[in-house]
Amino acid sequence: MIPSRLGAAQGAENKLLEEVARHAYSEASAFAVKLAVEEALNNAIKHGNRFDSSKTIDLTFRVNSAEIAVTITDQGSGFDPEVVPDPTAEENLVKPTGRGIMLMRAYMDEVHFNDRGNQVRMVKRNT
Amino acid sequence: MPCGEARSQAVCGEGTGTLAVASKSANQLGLDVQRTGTAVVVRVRGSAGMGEAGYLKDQLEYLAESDVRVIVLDLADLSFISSAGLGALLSARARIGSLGGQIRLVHPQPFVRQILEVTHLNQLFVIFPNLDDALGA
Repeated sequence: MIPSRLGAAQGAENKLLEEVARHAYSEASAFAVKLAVEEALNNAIKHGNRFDSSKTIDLTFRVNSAEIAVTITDQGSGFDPEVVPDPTAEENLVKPTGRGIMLMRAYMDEVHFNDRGNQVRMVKRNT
Repeated sequence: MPCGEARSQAVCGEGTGTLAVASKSANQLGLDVQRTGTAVVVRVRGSAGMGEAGYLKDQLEYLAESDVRVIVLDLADLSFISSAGLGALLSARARIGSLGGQIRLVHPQPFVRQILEVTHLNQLFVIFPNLDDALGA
């Protein structure tokens, strides 16, 4: 369980990345997973739990030689990931936020949100 | 299946005007600042993720308001940046832009350069081939 503070997720991230390194994934895959997990945790803290210290985030992962699967769940009311504006659209480029989901989808092989929108499951396959 | 533990190890600087920070590990952010006339070169070391983005934003905005026309970010030692770190760069870009200045980038590592391309932010931040070109432009 991770508290809803931006700096609190580092330990969890590090554990996951240690497992990724142990299974000899490429540097590119490790970077992709680090980035996607960071983005998902950032969203969970900021948008899901709204920095509410009474709420936590659950990060679970499974790493084997075939794939890395990560599930991140917050305690917020959820959202619709399909209505997030395209951050690469010209009118959105200068905005300081809004890139998290796009980066998750760009760097992971699978990104799935549950119906409520408070849980994301991501998969990176070993290629 | 193990769950992650909640231990904060990221450094979040307070950004009250101190420009030089000694970075102790690859997961923290270090900024080494060198001023040349109205230009400032900032060597960004380590990681600019969500734990460091607030500090990065504060430091760059402080520089932007310190009679600086150009901020050159030397990214040779920046191993990671997330959307939060990019947001810090954008906020600083807006601040210095409002004062007639610019932020320029040099030496991004391949993964960082790739993020700039994927997000199309290479359209907003000019990446110069070397420091001399960035300062002389």
